[in-house]
Amino acid sequence: MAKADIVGGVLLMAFGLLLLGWIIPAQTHQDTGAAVPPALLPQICAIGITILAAILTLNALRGKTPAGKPPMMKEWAAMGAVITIILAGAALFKFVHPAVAGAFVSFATMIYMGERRIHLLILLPAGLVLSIYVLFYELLGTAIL
Amino acid sequence: MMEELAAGFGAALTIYNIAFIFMGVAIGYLVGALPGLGKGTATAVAIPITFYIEPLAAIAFLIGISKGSTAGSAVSAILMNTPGEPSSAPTALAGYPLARAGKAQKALKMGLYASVIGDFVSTCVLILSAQTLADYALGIGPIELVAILAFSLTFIAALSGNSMVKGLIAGLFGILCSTVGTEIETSTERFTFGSFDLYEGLPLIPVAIGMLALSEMMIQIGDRRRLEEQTDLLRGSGKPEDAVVTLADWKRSAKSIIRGTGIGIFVGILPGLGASTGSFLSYGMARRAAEDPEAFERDGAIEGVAAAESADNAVVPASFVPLFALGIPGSVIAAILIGAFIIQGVTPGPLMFIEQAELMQGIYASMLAASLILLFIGYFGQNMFARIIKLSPSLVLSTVVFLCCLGSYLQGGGMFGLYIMVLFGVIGFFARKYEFSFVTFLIGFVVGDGFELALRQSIGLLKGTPEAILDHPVALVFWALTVLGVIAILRRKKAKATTEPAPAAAE
Amino acid sequence: MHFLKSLGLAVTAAAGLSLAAMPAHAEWPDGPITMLIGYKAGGGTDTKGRVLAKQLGQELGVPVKVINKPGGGQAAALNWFKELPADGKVFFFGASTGITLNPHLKKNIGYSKDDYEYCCLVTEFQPAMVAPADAPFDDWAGFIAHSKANPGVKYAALSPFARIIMELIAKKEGLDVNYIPTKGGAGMVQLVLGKQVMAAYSGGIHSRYPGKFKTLAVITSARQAHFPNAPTLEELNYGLNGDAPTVVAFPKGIDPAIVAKLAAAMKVAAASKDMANISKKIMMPVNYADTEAAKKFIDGTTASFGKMIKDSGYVAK
Repeated sequence: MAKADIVGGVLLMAFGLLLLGWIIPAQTHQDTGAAVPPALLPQICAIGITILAAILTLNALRGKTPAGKPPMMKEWAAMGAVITIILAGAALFKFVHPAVAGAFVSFATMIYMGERRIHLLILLPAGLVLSIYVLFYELLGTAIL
Repeated sequence: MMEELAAGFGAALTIYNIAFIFMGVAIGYLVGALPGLGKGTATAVAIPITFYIEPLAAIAFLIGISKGSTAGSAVSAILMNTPGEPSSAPTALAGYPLARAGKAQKALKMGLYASVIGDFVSTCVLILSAQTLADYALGIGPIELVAILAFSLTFIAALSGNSMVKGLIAGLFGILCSTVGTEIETSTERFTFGSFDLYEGLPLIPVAIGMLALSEMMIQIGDRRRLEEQTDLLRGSGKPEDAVVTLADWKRSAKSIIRGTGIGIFVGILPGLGASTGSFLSYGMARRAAEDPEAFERDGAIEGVAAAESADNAVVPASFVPLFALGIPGSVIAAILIGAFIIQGVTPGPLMFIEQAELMQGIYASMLAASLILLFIGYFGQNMFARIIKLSPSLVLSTVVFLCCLGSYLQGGGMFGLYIMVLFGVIGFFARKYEFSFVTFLIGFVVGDGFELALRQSIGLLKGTPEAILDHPVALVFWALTVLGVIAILRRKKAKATTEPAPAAAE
Repeated sequence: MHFLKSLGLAVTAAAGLSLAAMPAHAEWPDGPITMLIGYKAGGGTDTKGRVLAKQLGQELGVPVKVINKPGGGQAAALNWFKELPADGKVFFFGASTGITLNPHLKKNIGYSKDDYEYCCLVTEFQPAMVAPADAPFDDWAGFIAHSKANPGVKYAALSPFARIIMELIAKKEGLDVNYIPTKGGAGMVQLVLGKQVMAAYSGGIHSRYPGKFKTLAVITSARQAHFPNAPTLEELNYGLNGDAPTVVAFPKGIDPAIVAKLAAAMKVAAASKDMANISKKIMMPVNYADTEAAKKFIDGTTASFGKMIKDSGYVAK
């Protein structure tokens, strides 16, 4: 994990410095007259993150990191797949129909995981969407969209 | 007082009322166990139903939901490492390893017992001393609160897992995220990047769903082989003592339960802190008191589960103390309930005891009944969920992803909530894989907000008379505890560094 | 042949004409409608809104759902609302100060009163300057005297407006005030009941705690029925007021027929027994005003708030 820690440490240091130098001044008001300026707590956090990240990097360089398991290819792929499925669902929600989006998310995730039993691929997404509809629109009488 | 309570029981123990309590607890338990949905959604959505039923039943129903969901969230935490609520995050840390070792039933049962005990005791405390406690709680002002929260933040270090540096980074990042939004004192925006959706800050529920549930889903979906192994183990190791809570388990956990209940009650009474703070603190203390803290997350720890679950369930009734006695909501649930109360014609506050004495007694009796019903429902609920989990992972995980989307949409203000969930799902993925504790992130995020406000208020209150802090003994005590805590952490770290040989860079 | 053709044409023309003559939303509401509230669930506005929504639902015969979009003193909700299509599916219910006052306080707030069409006014907030029940003074004059004798008097401000009002008063009276920020009415109640502050701005929540607060002065331009002895800030010659009835609004471009329908339904809902009960409990009197009056109020009050802020020398951030 040492390599991951070095990379992570450097990235975090960069993030901390980015915060201090650019994001915080751009996104907080400076002259507000309050005893504790709005930027103070964020600045403390950013400074802390930068210093700690430096320590992290140094420790990793000196080989003092505890062993760990970096993510496997499969997990990266899964992360990408889940994000894609959800964002595609969001697009379907906006341009097609919310029920289609919901069914899609369930369906696509099952397909990705290797599910091939047709009856389940149809019943589960349909069942989920239908129960949500019944619950909110019929039983509760509150439209959620 | 006893006669009134007896009269209250009379009103509460009608079939009509019990049916609603039962439904409330059951729905709450279900919602709590399902990752993605939470008691906030359930309660807010249930309010319209309550228009059509009698006040006592309506309120008992809503309270039942909050009790049930706080207990139910342990189920998905233990079985799937995806806490149903942020307050069960420590339960996942200590309980999931137990499940992986074939002790799922044991962990689930202890979680339930601890939840019910915490809930019941806290309800009794509420009934017996609401007014006194509320008056006491008023004495906890910003100056005390900032000290208590600073103390809570030190637990960030205690709960950092393997690497304290990483844990601190995660904690600071959490605090940083809590500053997003409109700053209270100056009413200026911070980090909103022009988006008015962010005016109120990053919404907790989508952040929590993303970090706790979605990220875990990504990992589990990716690692199918380990999943299959696990499903086997979740069936149980086959050893009978792994399916029940043994006397030895009780002995180990007794202190944690007592401490957890106490912490939960204390945290619940103070407005502004929530169930999450209670469970984090309780878990952190249990871990500190243990002989081998590292083993907590490595092998799982029954007392960790007990600590977290007793505390978060104790918070719920205690948070009604300021609500009933003063009309001040002590938690998000209490805030939603205020609205429900008023709609039913009851104004929470000191007048409630006078104008609606009968109703109050009925509510108290209903709450006690709810605790017992929780035990019953939890027992069967667990069995049911444990069975569902054993279904094919492709069915379970895809449904969880669906529910996460639904929950963050409902509770995050629409699509915005969904996007936040995805963002924090990715962040959570990195955190989990590279060992940055997401628990410390949550602590920083949840506590950071209240901490900054209390700090500003304290500075304002002490302006010109800094020596006035000596008039606040509670604050001084907590500051002392904070300093001691920091010293203890540093000493432990130093001891660890000298005894541990530098591991060879294994890459 | 000719005849049939002309008949056909005539029928088509007649049909076409009648279709065109039908107003686009004759059937409003033809499905569930949504009430948008710019505060979190459980607050005063939200509670009132939900009760109103229930009554409206019965009046109009369709479910009226409530959604909360808290943030920035209704700014998040109003910005989101501004972009919605004016089809009558969503209407806004909230404190009018979001529209009449806040644009003067905040640069680039994102919206202005001209972005909306006003339907009616419903209830009234009852803001006031309050103090704890055991404060060493009994009325406004006493408070001023106390503040002069004790510089650094602690005042809880739960919003920028709460702070501005006190800043203006302090400037006029030469007071040295210590402003303690607080989150919402509940936070203010805690500070006062916990004896941490000597005075506070209350949006009306203080009336839920009889005997625990002294009402020093009221911020509405007329005296309040529940506190007849408290003078208004205008009577005290500060030239300030915080009139804030709740307003119902649609995005600009809405069909006036829909506005009229909702206004009529609101009138009935506001007069319902449930509303009367709630109003008594949280002391926010129902004071219905119709579309004309609402528009006049918004225009007039926006202008007068603008003048008030400008005269105070406050610079929008």
